[in-house]
Amino acid sequence: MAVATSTALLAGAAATGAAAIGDSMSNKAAIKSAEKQKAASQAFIEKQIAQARSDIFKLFPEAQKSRQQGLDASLSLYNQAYPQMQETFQQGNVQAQQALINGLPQIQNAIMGRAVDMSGLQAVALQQPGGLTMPNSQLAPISDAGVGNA
Amino acid sequence: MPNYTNQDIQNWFASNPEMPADQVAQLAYQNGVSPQQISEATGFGLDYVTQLYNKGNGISGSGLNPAFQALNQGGLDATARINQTQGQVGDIYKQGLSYLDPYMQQGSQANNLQAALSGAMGPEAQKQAYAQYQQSPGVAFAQQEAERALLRNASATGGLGGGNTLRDLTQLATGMYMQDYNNQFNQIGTVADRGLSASTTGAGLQGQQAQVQAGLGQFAAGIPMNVAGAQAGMQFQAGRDQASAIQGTTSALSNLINQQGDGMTDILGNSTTTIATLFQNAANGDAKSKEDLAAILGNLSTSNASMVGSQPIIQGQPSNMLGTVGQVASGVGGLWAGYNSGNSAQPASTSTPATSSAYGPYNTGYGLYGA
Repeated sequence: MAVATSTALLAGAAATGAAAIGDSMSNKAAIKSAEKQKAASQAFIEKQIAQARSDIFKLFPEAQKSRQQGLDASLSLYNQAYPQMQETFQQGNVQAQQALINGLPQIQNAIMGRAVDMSGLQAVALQQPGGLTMPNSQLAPISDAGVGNA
Repeated sequence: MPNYTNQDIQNWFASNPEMPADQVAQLAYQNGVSPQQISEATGFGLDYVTQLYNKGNGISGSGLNPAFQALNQGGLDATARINQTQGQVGDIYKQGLSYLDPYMQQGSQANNLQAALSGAMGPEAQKQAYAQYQQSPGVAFAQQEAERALLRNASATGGLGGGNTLRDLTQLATGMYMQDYNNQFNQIGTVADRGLSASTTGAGLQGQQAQVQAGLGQFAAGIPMNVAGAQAGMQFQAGRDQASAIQGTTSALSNLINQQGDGMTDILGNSTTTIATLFQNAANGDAKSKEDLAAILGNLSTSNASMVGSQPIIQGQPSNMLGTVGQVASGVGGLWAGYNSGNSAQPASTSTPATSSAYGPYNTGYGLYGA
């Protein structure tokens, strides 16, 4: 009886010890697992944030480029148009002045009873403006920005 | 340019019956024959003749040329009528003077005779006039009658052929001559006065005629001046109108040219603005798309991270071997106790397994973050 009891006690102790060790190891594993999960989550979060930042910092400059391209195109058009507009306006005004000047001697001739020459009064077709060279209207596709690649 | 009469015009038409109306109109224009004259000569209506006249000469009926023509024709007509009136006035006065003419002539003769009798025209004329008087039938008749009466008286008294009778006859003749001479002289003077009066009247009439014709002449003289003045005014006004039309046309032309330049400038400017706006809108749209995409992607990433972050940690189930061992031990103990109690009939233990208290520290449900 005593041997059995001692044996049982020893066995029990051994089992207890082993169980305790097992439990301890199991706990540590659980903690490690949790920590692993946390680290993985953290890494994922950081990756996502990095991705987000990367996408933002790729797309916003592209957006800025697009705006700049539009502005440059508009300025280019105006740069071409304004000289032509000024020239056309001035051409019309000068021709109008010339028509008035051409009419004056004939007015005098009519009053004085001299022969009137109407050849100075002519229809005028102003020179057409040279036209505009269209700037590049092709905007960069979004795929070129390389978004989605961290 | 000669003035053609109605007869001239009629004769011409009779000689040229087949001439077309246009040619007739042109010839009439070239020769200064007016539509009115043609109408009067031919009897055709003035409107009809004027219409053909204008058509043949390319006259629109309005403007300077027809106006000048009308003025000139009006001047010619007026002058012709004045000349005609002057002629009529002259004829009337002439007729009036003709009524006075016998009186003036007789008066002139009587005046001459009286002047001669008075000696104003010289002794020869006086002698002749007196001889003429003596031989005048009236004096001879009166003398004859007086002599007859004297002789009859003398015959009745028996003094015929006597000296007294001769003396009486001589005295009678002298007396008769003297008495009748004065009468004759006075009568001649009366006739002469009548002639003077007629002449005065005639002179007055001629003075009136001169006045009337002078007035008509003055009026006629004013016609060319008036016509010329009217034409000059019209020509000057035409010049002014022409100048005004040129000025208006020039101004309008100038405005149109200026508007052309202005309009073309506006078209170019507006087109440029439209195209520039299209470019800017496209670029802005593209930029916004990219920004929106960046926001979406960013949100996506952050929401992913947030989702992951909000996921609870899957806790590893730590082992509970001690508990199990405890339970086993408890079970064995129980068995053993039961075995022993079977021998000693002890009641089974109703105590809870020792795990809930003995192994509590190892099974606290310790969370990952010590929660």
